[in-house]
Amino acid sequence: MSRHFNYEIDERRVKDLLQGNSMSFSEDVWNDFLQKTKPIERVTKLPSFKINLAINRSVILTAVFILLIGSFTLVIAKFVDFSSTKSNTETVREVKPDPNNYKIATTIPIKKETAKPTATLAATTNTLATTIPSMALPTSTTNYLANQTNTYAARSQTNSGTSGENNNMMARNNPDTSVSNAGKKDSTLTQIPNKNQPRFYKKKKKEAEVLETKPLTTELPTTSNEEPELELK
Amino acid sequence: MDTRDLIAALTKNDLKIKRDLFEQHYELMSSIALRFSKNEEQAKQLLIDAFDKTLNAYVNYKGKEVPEFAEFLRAEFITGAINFIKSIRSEYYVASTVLATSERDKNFNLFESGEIIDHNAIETPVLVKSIQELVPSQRLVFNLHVIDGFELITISEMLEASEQTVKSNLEKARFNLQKNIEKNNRTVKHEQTL
Repeated sequence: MSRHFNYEIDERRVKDLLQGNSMSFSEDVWNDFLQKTKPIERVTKLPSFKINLAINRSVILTAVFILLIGSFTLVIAKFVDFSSTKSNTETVREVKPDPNNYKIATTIPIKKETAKPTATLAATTNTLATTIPSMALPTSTTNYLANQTNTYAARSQTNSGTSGENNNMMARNNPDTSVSNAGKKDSTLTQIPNKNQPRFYKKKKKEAEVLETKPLTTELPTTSNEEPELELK
Repeated sequence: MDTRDLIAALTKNDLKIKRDLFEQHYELMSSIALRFSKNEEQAKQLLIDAFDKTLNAYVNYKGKEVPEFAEFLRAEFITGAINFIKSIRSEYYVASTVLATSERDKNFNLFESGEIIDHNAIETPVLVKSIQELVPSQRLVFNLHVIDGFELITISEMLEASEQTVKSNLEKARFNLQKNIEKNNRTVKHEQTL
C-alpha cells in the first residue's frame, strides 16, 4: 500500500447502500432450495461420555515394561516354596530341670579322695555332654549350663573354706540350689576346660631373622676406567 | 406463530411454513448473500445453503428460551455465510493467481486519469461489484466489521485467525475497495457513454 493513500469512502453510506441492496424473490431460488436441501431432522443426542485415551509410544512402552516385570516376578515366585516356611518355624521347647538327672548326683558316694572327684566330675560332665545332644537342647540352654559351671568355678576359687565335694557337685548340677561353699579350693573344677566356649590363644611374637652379611670380594666395574666414551656423530 | 409451533412444523417438514419463512426473510438473506459472495450466482448458492443450516440450527436449538426466528436468523445466517465461503475457499487459490504481465501494463497510479471521484455519490451496483471483487478474506472482514458491526476480536474468533491478521485484512480491504470503486466507476461511465 502506498503511503499517500487517503481513505475517502464513507462507510456509513456504504453500509446503508449494502443493507438496502437485495435480490428479487424468484421461484427458481425456492425450487433450488427444495431440490438441494433435505428434510430437517431433529437430532436427539444422548449425553455421550467420551474417554480420551491417548495411546502413544510412551504409554505402550510403560505397559510393556510393567507386563515384563510382572511376568518376571511370577517366574521367580514359582521357584520359591512358600509351604516350607511352616516347617522351618521351630517351637522353642522350654527345658525344665529334670529331677531324674539329679538323682545320679545325689547317689554318688562321698569319698575323701581328691583324685576321684575329678573323675566323677568329668563323668558327670560327660554325661551332661551326652545327654544334652540327645535331648536336642537349644543352644541357649547349653550356654546357660556352661555359664553356670563357670560361675561355680569362680565361686569355688574365691571361697577359702573347706566343703565337701558332694556339695560342689550338687551346686554344679543343680543351679537352683544355692549351697554355700565354705570348703577348700576345688582345683579340679578350675582345671576342667569348657568345651562349649572357644579358646583364644595369644599369638607369640616372632623375632626378626637376622641375615648374615658378606663383604664383596671383587670390585664392580666403573665407567671411568674401562668403558670408552661414545663419539657423537 | 409460537416458536414451539414453528419448530414442530419445521420438524414435520411443513413446506408451506418453510416457504413463508423463506419469502419473509428473503430480502435480508439476499442482501447478506450478495455482499459476502463474489457474484449473484454464488450469492444464490450461499443463500440456499445458509438458510438450510439456519433452519436446522433453529430446530435443534438447545438453549433455555428459544429466540424469535428473525433474531436467530441474522446471526445464524452470517455464520452460515462464513462457513460457505470457507468451504469453497479452494477455488480461490486458482482465481487469485496473478498472471505475469509486462511493466508497461502495470499501472499503480489510481489518479492517472486526473478524474476527481466523488465517493459519496457512488451507485449501489458499483459498490456491490467492488466489494464482490475483493479477496474472500478481505471481503469477509470488511463485511463483518464495517457493515455488520462486529469487533475485530470477535471476527478473529469467527474466522479462526489472529487479530493482527484481521486488522491487516481490513486495511487491505479498504485500500482495494477504494481502488475497485474508482476502477468500476470509470468503466461504468465509459459503458454509459458508449
